[in-house]
Amino acid sequence: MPTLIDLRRRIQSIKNSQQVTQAMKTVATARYKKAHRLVIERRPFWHLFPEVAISLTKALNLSEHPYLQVRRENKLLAVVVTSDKGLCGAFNSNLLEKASRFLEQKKEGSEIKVIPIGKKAVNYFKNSPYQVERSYFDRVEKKIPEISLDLGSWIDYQFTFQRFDVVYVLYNEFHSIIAPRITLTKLLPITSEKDTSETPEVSYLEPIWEPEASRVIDYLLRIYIHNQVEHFLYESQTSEQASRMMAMENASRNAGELISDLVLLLNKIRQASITRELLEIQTAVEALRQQGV
Amino acid sequence: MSGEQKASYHLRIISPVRLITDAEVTEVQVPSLDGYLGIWPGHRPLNACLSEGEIIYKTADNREEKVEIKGGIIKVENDKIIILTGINND
Repeated sequence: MPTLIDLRRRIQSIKNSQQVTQAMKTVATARYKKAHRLVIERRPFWHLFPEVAISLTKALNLSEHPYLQVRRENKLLAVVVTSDKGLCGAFNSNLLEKASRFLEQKKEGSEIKVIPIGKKAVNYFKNSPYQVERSYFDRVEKKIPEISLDLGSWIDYQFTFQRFDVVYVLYNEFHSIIAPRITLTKLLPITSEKDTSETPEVSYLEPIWEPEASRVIDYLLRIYIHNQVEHFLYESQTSEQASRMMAMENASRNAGELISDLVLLLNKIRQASITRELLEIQTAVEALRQQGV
Repeated sequence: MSGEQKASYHLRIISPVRLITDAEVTEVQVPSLDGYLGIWPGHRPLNACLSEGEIIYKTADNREEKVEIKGGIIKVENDKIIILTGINND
């Protein structure tokens, strides 16, 4: 049976941990609110932009644009987005597990290169058989605009010169605060996924292009990659904060439960020792009385 | 197009940072690369680049509103218009 002093120490130490987790939760909540607002405001553009791009490119056979060329997936690039810091539940481990399963699948017949973003992914891919092309880590959340410009132009260059045939992105999309949605998307080449379900629009009029189609599309696709990279970095950041918020809330709650259990035990022991002492005194008094003192 | 034309367009103007407009409109003027284009219901499908300028539109309850943009893309379909702004034209 633990002594009272041990129990008191344990309770105090758990209380301290609880304070830390509560503070972290408060911080994560504030960051989450900020990030969430930004994501909600920008989502219409992120979602409509590829849609418009796809519908425009479908209108014309423009396979001469480098982004639209579908080649055999011989050289594959995977961008994996995680967080820099831990303490956010299964946020990173689920994503990395999915990433390794996906790459395992694709290993047959294609040469795989990886761009990890965030310290967790960087560490993970250090010990993997895949070649790391470049990586971004350390305060990623503060440098999203710079990273998306840099990575965007790099991917643009590499893809245009056919160093890669296909570019996949794996990230946590913000879905709800309970759990993020792990999303795997094909960044390049741009293809419409719902080709069969979508019926061609019944319009016997050919659209007017102003200026000519190739220029409109060129103009549109110029910011495509940069915009999409920004999209998945912001989504990942928001879901990271949401996951951390949930993880810290759970931790605080567990600490609370632990404390109340321990306090109960502490009180029981204290009570028992008081009862024992009382008994001892009682017996002593009884013994003395019998001796006739 | 089955002979009947809708008398309005569903207009959405979206910048990279937010949704600027989401409304039913009866008339839109946009700054194309070679000057302003007016779009009324029943316009032919159109895909165009926009330059810097003002988008002027009339809502279904006859209010005229203006939005300043710095370049973008407009896509006109049967009954909807999507304008993506903030794509710099240089």
